[in-house]
Amino acid sequence: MEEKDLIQHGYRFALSLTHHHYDAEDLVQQAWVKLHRCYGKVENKSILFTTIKNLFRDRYRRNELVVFESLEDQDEIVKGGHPSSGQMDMETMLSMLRHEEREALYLNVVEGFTNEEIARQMGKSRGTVLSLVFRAKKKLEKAFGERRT
Amino acid sequence: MGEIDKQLKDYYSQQNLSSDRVEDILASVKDIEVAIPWWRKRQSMLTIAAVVILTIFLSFFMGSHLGQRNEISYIIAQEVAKNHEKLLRPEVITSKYEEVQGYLTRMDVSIKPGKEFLQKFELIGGRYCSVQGELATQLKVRDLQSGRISSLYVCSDRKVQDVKPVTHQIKEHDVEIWRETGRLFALVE
Repeated sequence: MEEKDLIQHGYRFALSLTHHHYDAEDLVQQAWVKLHRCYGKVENKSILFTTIKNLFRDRYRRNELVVFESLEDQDEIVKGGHPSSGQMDMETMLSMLRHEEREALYLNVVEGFTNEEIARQMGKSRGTVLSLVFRAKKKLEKAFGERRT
Repeated sequence: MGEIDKQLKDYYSQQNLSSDRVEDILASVKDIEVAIPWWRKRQSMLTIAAVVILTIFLSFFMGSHLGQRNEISYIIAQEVAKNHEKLLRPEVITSKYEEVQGYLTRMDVSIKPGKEFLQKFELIGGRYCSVQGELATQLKVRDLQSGRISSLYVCSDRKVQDVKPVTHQIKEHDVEIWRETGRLFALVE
């Protein structure tokens, strides 16, 4: 994979975490520089994603912008209180997901990773990954259905 | 593929950094030098130090070992140990040194060792041999305590004046070498 393609993939992955364009840009650049400083190159997508994820975690934990919630505590966010369904596009729908759900969904649907690969990447069990993807899809389906009506 | 999957793919495929931004990112790492972590630097220094110490140690060890092998006493020890292994039978069998001396008339030095040796070993017999080209006597002696049979070599020390008392290990044999009143002795056990 060419460097430019790698950066684009990294950016999309960062976007799935932050759901914020500028933050995603910053993250991918930071990760790119960090990997070059350590190894002189970016070997593959996997190491780039891991670095982005670590930076994301460090940054947002420091700023306390993200609350790391357990799956059990998290109730269906879509259940009421979401923006007007008629105006809802994919970006808005994704904003209703937790970053972990977006991440798992992105890796599964867009990057085509297997559940095992996602589990390794996210440092979670395969079961948790399955739940994250399932819940994320459910939320999106629900929001999507409501948008149509 | 479900509708959601398709929409997701479409959404993310449209999310691209501008080519200028990508170029910026690529340019930002052009002058970056790979940083070597402190522990890796320390590791390389330790490796170099270990190699230097090992080299010094090996040179010293090999040097002293090779030096030892070049010593005349070591060469003599090798010669007598090899001779001992031939298990040659004595030409004259007796427990008296005088009788052996009387039989080996060509020996121009006394073959009788010092008092200390005589207290520990008894004579079995003797025969001619040579040590470093010098006419010598090979005596078969028995250790009075252990009963083990050893070979004692005696010759003039004319050619080996600089040999000092020493013990060498040649294969499984201990070879003890010493000089005594103009004679060279080598005991192979």
